[in-house]
Amino acid sequence: MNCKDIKEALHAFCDGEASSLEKKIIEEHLLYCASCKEEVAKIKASLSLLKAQEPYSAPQGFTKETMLLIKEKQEYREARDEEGIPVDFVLSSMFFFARGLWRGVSFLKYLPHPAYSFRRRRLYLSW
Amino acid sequence: MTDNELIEGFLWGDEELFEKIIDNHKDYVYNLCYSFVKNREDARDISQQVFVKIYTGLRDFDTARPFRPWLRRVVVNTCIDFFRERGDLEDLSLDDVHEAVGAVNPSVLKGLVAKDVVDKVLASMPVQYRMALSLRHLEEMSYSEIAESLDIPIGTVKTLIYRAREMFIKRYEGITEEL
Repeated sequence: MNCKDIKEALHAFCDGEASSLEKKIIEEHLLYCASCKEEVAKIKASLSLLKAQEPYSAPQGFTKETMLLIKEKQEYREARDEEGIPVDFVLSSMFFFARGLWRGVSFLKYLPHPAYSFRRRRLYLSW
Repeated sequence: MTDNELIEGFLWGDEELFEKIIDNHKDYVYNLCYSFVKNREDARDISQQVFVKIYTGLRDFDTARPFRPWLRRVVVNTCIDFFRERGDLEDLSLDDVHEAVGAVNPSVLKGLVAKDVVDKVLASMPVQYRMALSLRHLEEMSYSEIAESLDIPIGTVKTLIYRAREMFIKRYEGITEEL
């Protein structure tokens, strides 16, 4: 296996996430490849930089602000529930329902006439 | 009181216990959000959204299970929604790793300590890379846990982490050479 193929697996190797086969291949490769050894050193240095990040704390007054936000949302929800369904919403949905129903009914005229289909069925049976 | 006792108490109707839940986890949630978005204002807004979601969603939480992984999932999903709304979650190509080193303006970094430089470099990287690195290093999650958390195959996690670290190393080296 050459260095190019091994490069991606080196990161998993440094994270302890390489499979046992990958681990064996990489360990053997590192015995004679100086550039991959250097790559591993670079990755390990980056790991220590990334792990050393200091945690950030939530800003002051965060809990109070969040509780206020939750109360606001709750009050809004309750007010909406008390109001019930808005009239304009009911009217518009009734309009669209009626229009859909009308279109559905008017589509029936494109269907074959029942008498015609009956004749066809008879014809088919006589065969 | 443990997290799950607090949650049970809250679910039984003691609303004040939710304040304690926020107090116990606000720093964790804020820090994780900040590591994803790298902006204090956005991190605060998203953290608040997370707690609003939790307030209504705790009824679905199984109190026999640990709270932190569930909370982390809510944070990750809320951040993903935030990035989707902003259009930041686009597909990345391999060329991204090899793009120009100076994506961070070095003049901004004068007088900063190594920790702040790392922060600025991470802030200059694509969202997916930042999320993968944060989950790996901040949360110390395994590749399979990251895959589950981001809902992507484990092979994609390996590639994401590889590309993210390559980009990080290149940008960090480029900046420290210039400084």
